[in-house]
Amino acid sequence: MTDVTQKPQSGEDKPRPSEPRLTRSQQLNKLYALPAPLRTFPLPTLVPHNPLSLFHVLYVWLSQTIKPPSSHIEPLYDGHWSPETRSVHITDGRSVRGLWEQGFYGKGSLSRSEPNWMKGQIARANKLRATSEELTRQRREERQQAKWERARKEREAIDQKLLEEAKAVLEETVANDDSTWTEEKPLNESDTISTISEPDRNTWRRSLKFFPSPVGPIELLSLPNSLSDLEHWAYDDEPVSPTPIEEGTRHRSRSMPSPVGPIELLSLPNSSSDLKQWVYDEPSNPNPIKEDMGPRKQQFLPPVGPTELLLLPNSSSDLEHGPYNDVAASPAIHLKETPVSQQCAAPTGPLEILALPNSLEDLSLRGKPLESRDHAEAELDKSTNGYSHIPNGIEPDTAPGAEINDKWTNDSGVNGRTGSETSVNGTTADIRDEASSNSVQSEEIVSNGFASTNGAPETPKIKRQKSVRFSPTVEQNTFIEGEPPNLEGGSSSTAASIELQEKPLVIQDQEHFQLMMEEAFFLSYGLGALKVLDSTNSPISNEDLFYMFRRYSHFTPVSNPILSPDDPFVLNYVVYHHYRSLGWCVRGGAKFSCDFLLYNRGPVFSHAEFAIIIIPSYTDPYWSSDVFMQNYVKGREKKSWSWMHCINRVISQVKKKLVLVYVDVPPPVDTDAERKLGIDGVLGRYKVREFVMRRWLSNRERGSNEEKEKA
Amino acid sequence: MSESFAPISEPIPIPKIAGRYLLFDVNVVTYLRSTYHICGVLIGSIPQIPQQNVFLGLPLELMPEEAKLLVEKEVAYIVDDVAWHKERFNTLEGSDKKKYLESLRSKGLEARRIAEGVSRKKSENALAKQAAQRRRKAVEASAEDHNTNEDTTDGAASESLFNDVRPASRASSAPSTSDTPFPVTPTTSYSPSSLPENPTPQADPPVPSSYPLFKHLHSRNYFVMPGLRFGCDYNVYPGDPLRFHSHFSATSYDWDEEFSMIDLIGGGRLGTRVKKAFLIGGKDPCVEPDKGDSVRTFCIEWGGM
Repeated sequence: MTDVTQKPQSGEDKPRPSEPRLTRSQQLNKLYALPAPLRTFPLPTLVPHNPLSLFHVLYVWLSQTIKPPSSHIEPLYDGHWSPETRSVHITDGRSVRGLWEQGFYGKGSLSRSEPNWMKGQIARANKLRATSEELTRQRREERQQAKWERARKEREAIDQKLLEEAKAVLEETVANDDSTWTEEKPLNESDTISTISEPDRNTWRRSLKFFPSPVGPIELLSLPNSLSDLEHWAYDDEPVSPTPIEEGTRHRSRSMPSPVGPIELLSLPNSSSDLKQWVYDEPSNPNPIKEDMGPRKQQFLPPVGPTELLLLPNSSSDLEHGPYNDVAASPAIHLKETPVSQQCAAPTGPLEILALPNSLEDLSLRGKPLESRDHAEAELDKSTNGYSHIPNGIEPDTAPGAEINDKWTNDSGVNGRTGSETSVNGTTADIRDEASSNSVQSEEIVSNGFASTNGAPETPKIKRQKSVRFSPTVEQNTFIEGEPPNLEGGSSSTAASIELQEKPLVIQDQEHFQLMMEEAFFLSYGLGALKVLDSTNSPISNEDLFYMFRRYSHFTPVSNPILSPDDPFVLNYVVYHHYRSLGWCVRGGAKFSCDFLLYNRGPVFSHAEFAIIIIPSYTDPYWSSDVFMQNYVKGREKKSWSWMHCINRVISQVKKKLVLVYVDVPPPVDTDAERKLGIDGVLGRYKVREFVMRRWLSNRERGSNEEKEKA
Repeated sequence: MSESFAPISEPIPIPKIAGRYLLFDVNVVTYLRSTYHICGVLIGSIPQIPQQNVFLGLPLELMPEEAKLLVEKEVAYIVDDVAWHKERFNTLEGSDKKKYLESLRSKGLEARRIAEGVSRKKSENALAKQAAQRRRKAVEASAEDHNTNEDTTDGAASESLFNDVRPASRASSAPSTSDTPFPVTPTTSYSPSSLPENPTPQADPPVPSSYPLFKHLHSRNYFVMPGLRFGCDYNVYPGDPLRFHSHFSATSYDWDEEFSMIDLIGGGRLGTRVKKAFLIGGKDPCVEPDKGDSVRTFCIEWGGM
């Protein structure tokens, strides 16, 4: 358990330079200045024309020869061997930061991420700023959104195109049919027209004439739905089918006005059958809709405001229902129409939008006279509309919301309260932390405030419910006592943060750092900067570590002390040591399905340049000495071309170069001889050969070279 | 050429040349593709555009798996081309030989006739175009010069007349028919009719160990293509590869084969990248072959967490 609130930057050993302000890359350079956890002591530079510098050099040289300083970091970093994860866990903060900043990045496969879990937790708890994870998530969401948007637009374009094509096809077919009909004519002997080809065309034209260009809904409905309709129509006896419809059309086009308002739209027929029925029924059954149209039109004003929108009918049935029940059932709406519209101003801001009524019920309630208001609110509490049923004020930011709502009520002059709630908000600022207690507290405070002004026992509850209405904008704002409530964002989060620092926030650091076996062994054996402890917290010697790692490099750890010279750990370590010695920063490459990734300086600075695949190579004559060995080698060396292509594609997709590293495996020696050789001797028997491989496409490479030349 | 639209009669001979199963007849290729979902890979260079290898033509190479599947279905049989050639060509005598040579000659003649026809048509078109262009130019020139100078218009007219005459004379001289046929290199050294009618059941063509997976996928009406390009054994298409992208990149493993976890990562990564599902499958040796399908397949997708 660490107490982090006292010093929020406790995760870092080195103080970050504060002034002058460094750029990000300068900060990084400073932070990651040391490539390995070793100290070097170079002599100071000799300046020839300054004799003092000679003395300085001599002094340093003498002092270093007499008392050589240790190049190791004291005390050594320590890690704990974990056989389950086959890695060395680094748990204390100093070791984690130390190794991370000096070129050892462990097993974590998240690219370029720091061990900053703790910082993220603190930031999240304090809500000071967004953590990098949150930012990443947000960025991803935005990207996702953009992609959806793009996909939608593409889809729309395709639909549009399809529609156009369909239209074109339709026109074409109509034109074609015109010609084909003339050919098919002789088959239709039953046709009443005497001559064969010419009159036929006439019928066709006539049928076309039946269909006027669709300027109104009736014409649209009267259009034929398919070619068969058309055919039927054209060859049927003229007086039978087209005429009634045409008559009806004429009749109706007079009766139905062009749909300029909602009522007209609703009253339009939905299908041709509707239409017919309507036409035929008209004399016997006088259309109620039509009759009622006049009065209703007066009732429903054109929807210029929210009130009118709410008042509009939702369906035809509403409409029918409406006029008859108008006087009896819902007189309130019409009675209160004018006052309501006065109350609800045109929505120019969020407050007004929220203040708008959500349903007719609201409207009717709001429209009630002032004396019955309390009663109305009690009703509101019971009713199920969104206006009154707001989740309880769990959020600590309820108070500003309450303030705003109150402000609105003040403005509208319904509740003659003064602006005494500012004090309430001031007090809520310091209770932002603990969510549960806070909500209770704020409720109390708010209710007190209301009780003092209103005096009614029920109102506080209602007010609190109202107060949570909108959070997204107001959440950011906190009001200091004495300051007038300011909606524009004159926020003072300092008050909150000051309050916060008084209360210790304890988060257990759950993040630890895992070193690969190769990394740990290089740190321990190669650099002497790490002390690996076993489960009993006693350090493991390099010899033991070497054999233990070799045994654990097989999936089920081998208990056999005789180890083959080509076990995975040795092969990997040879390659790891090779590249580390050459100054590369080496990390595990499981995420790109290779063995290692080579970074120029580290993942903090750049992406990996090379991906390493280790292939054992059995060139020693021992390995081809007998059939058993040959078969064994064949099994180990067998890699398919498709495997090669797969790896190569994966690697080149992430813009890295694939390096095939062949490790020449020496013949095995028995255990005693190996002990005698020591780790140095054993490792010295291996050789490493490297091949860079890349996919080369003749036609594409030429293009890319040209681009390079251009650039 | 003569049998180009003849119906395909099963079983189909598949010549095996230098260890490859090649098909030379476009009808056989389309027949196998539409009837048996066998696509193969076109490997021949196109004579008209030889300096590219994006679009290839006949012959079509079949994977050993495809050849074996066809043989198993008794749709096709394999002809060892070298052996058959030796056997047939050395013993080709008398009327047979004459017939063979005659068929070669007739093919050559036909090729010549077609080529000449094409070139004549081409040149006629070009000349007609040229003449039309000149005439139009001449007309324009004459219209311009009409008011100023009468002589030049005469000259232009005579020129255009001359131009019109010249190509006509050349065209008339061009079709000089000759009877020498084009040299033809036959794709096979025997005519199809000379192949054995009832082939002796041959040994199965050797196939890689992934054959059970191939057969399994093929039996599910997938189109299976070689997947070397995508680093897998097979690319699996839900329909004809000309109409669909492949849905799976399939890799076969033996039932007890050990493979590295890293290979799974690579395959999954690549498959997800190219919008395919990485599919691994293998034949369960415990299941009896007569008890239904013994191949099990698994898909691996890269879940972005």
